[in-house]
Amino acid sequence: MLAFYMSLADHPQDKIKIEEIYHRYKKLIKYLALSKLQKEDLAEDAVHEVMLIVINNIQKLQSRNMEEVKAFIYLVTRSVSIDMLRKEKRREAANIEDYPFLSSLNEDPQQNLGKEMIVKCIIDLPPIYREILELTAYFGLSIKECAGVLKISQPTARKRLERARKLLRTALEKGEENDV
Amino acid sequence: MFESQERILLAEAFAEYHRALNAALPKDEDLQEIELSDRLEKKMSRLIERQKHFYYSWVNTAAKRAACILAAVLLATATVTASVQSLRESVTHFWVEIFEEGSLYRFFNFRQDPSIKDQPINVHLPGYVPRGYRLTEEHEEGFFYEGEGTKCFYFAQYPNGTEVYVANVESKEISVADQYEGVLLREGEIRKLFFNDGEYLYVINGTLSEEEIIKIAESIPFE
Repeated sequence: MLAFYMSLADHPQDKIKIEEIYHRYKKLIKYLALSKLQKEDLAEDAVHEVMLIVINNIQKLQSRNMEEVKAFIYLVTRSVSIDMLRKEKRREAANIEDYPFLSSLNEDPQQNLGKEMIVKCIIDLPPIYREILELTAYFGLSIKECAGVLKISQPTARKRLERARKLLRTALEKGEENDV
Repeated sequence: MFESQERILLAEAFAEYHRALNAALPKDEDLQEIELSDRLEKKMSRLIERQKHFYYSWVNTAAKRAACILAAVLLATATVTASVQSLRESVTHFWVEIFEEGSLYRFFNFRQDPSIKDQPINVHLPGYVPRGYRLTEEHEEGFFYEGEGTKCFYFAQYPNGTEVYVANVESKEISVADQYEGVLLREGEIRKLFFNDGEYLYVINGTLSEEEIIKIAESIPFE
């Protein structure tokens, strides 16, 4: 049987990277998922979901180093875990805020200067807005791709991005006023 | 979405954020006690192996898998017809599976013996060649015709059961010689026609008008 492909063929290095990502971060994904989902079997389902999203977005990650991929993994795992909780109708029990270990990130008093201020404002953003900014501005995903990763509709993704930019701008202006 | 300056600033800020985030996340040594079940490891091994195959993008979502299953079910429930002529007319068909990035067309004759597809092809060259074109190359895969300047087209004939996967381009279903179902694709100046006469899949592909490509197709001396 002959098969013609007019679409681009997948690159072999994509497949190697996927394998590397899984073996390197599988325990981290499960750990992060378990801390939200509190159930072993759900956490393992989340590992599978996260890797599916990684595979679907591997071309965006190909040029990233493993530390950047780790940040992507964190974002996706959080999003997948919350989505699973939502489906289990456990949203009221879900801590949709950040993981506890992030609370120490903004304790440095030097963080009100220049770029550090932007970082501080980013960390202070509600996670749902930080995530959409991160996916678009840093990882270069389109609105459609973001909607796929975050399991939301495209209009919702678009609105979240607009709101995120507005919130960040407001936070930065406030930060500059405090400096003056 | 972003102005270039805004994107640069955000990208730099997120890079710093990632450094801080990764420093705060658990290290490998903190995760020693995390175990993954055999069930998950096997599931993940299968997933990683599957995505290495060329057809992974056809079945990587539930919707696509449902489309494949539907195609298989429809194939399995096809009915027998009495004569060769009615056989060709009723069962010469193509199935289309629509995926995100393209479509898979399968051309086959349900009743034909699958072993026939391995037999040598009795080539049916088209009788009509548009003015200005001439046959310049022939090989196992097909026949290449060249015209003036960069104009050219390609004719090929394949065994029963051939699959063709094409990326999302403008397409429409047409009928060749009022009896054979085909698909005509267009991408800019290039047109590509696939159709099946019950024995073979024919492909005509090139810088041809719709009228020319159909005329070439209809000049094939079908059996």
